[in-house]
Amino acid sequence: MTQADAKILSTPWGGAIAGTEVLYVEFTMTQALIDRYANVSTDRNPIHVDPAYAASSPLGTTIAHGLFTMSLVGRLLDHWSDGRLSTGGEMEVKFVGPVPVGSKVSIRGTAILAKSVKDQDMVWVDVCCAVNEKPVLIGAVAIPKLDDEEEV
Amino acid sequence: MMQTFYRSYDDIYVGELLPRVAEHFFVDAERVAAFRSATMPVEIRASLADAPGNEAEVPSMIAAIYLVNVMHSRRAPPGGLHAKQNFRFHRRLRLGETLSIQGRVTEKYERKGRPYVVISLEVKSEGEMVAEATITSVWGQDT
Repeated sequence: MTQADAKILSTPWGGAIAGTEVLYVEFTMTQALIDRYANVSTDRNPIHVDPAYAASSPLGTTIAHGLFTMSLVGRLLDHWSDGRLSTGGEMEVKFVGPVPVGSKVSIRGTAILAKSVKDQDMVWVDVCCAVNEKPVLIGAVAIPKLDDEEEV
Repeated sequence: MMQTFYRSYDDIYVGELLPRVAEHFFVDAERVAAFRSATMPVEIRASLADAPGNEAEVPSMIAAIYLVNVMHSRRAPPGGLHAKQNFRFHRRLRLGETLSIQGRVTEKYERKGRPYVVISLEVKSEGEMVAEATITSVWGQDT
């Protein structure tokens, strides 16, 4: 995968406006990416790492780990929020489809109105990961705001 | 050939601890670096307009890989599906700390003919809660 395959648009944390897209990433899911995650996670289920095995599965090819896709989303939003997600945020996603190897994957995050949860102001970001514009992961991420930050 | 013992859906019960004794994981620099590399591929990182962030910080999403080891304790049959996942981060993880992770089955239900199991996990460091997770999965077909 070359750098040219990755396209990112991002809105700096402080500039987020409710209802606008704050993150958009496109990349190609390669077997090398899947293998790298399999090695660090120790999840070497053959459906992820064995093309010969996966060829006989209903999908006919290897697929990325759901937690890999989720980790990508989390890492990107943690980066976007200058680490605030890691220090008190929350992510909840549903896995609604597989990510086959070779897929063109897009990750989109859209800020929504800030909400207060247990007296902590949070910025909520709707997330959608899609393959060929078909959602494979959907969910929401709540990121704590600092007291002196402007309203989203 | 080693026989693998899978548990049936009926075997799993609400309130059950998985694993029965908490598993421990050391947050080491090598694995953190490998996770950072795997989950922010250079092809994406190089396209970001600003700096990639503090290399000494531990991405909280690394909790996901520690959960894999714990989830193996379910001995779920093959063919299951990971349906939903929730993470709540209380604070950033630190290099050199040891995490204690244990889950509890909190719910079982069937929907559209599929058997679901919900497991809630706690990630602690020296008794301090650092993260929580909830995994909802479709139980594999009983063998």
